Amino acid sequence: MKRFLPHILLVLVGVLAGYYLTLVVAPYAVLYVFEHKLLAKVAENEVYHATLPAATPKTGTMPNPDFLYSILKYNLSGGPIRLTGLVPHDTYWSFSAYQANSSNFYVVNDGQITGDKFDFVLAKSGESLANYQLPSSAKIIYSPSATGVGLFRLLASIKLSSAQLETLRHQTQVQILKNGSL
Amino acid sequence: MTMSSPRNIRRWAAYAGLALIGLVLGSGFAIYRLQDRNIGVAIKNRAWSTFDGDANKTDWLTMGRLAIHAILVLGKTETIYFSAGADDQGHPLSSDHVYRIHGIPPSARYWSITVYDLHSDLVANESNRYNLNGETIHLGSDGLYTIYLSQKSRDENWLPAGNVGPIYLTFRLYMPSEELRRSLTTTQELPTIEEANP
Repeated sequence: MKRFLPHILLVLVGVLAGYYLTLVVAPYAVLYVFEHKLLAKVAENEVYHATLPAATPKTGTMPNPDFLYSILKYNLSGGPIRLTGLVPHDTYWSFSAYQANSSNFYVVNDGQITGDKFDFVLAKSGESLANYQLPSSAKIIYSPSATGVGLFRLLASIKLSSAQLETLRHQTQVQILKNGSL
Repeated sequence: MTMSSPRNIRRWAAYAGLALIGLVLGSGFAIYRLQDRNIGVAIKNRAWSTFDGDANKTDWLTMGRLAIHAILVLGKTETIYFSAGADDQGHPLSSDHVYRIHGIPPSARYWSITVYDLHSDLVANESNRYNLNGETIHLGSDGLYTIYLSQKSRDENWLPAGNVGPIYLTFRLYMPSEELRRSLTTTQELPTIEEANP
């Protein structure tokens, strides 16, 4: 039996390594597939406005059929990006950001924003923004990873018409910031 | 004997093979555990369950399950997602049964009850209605609501069950009150789910 102890230990170490490696990689793999399969046609650093979720197409993502989702596949390797747009206060609205391993690291909703506009600058964690002329009103959001997903949720409330909701969310703009300029 | 002797090569190949077997077994076990829809430490309240903890500050298994079964979820302060795959008696929900869902409007900014199949997709039905929410639901004179989850349409508060076999419900609570967040296991703001006569 002693003769096989190293072999058994080797298998056990392999089991533990395989188990934890898979668990660590899984969230990255899921977001990678989400970005490259479901959002394959969505360009990086542009906001894609999805229609209200329905039974088809099947996405397996447990969508909320009440929400108009607007999705941003961000890549900050070329510099920070600035997001601007309108915030409604008569229906639920939120912006949330997810890093490459799919964890949510930032969320803000309409009740937490004063006024009817938002102005976010999304930058890589640790990046110095000293060379950028940023508006004082901008909220700086640091992403732990260079890539990830930003998600706007807009409740399709019966208090607002489809046209009002679409007009509102299509005001969202994305701008890649260059050194020394807005 | 050198490292490159045939005997040593065979020995190291055997070690590599054993390690590889271990890696495959461990990975397979992880994949098996990731399939479980019970995300993290469950908070149970009758038929409903949610996971305990913040979506961002949790263990790897929970993070993996969240990513697979509920990608892009939010933390408990913003949203609580309760799921129910069975009625109050513990019988798995099925689209060919009729259920009566009864409750009090919860203390949240926005709330809804949505039907999904086991692949986390919305359930197809002729009405293209997948949920009821705080705006669209009709309350009784007592301030309570009663939803009928069934294939056949009902006059009021009908939630189509489609024709997909096993289903589950998600009860979303956006911006829940602090009192609700603190009493998830005991709150009476989660509706009852009982099988009803067809």
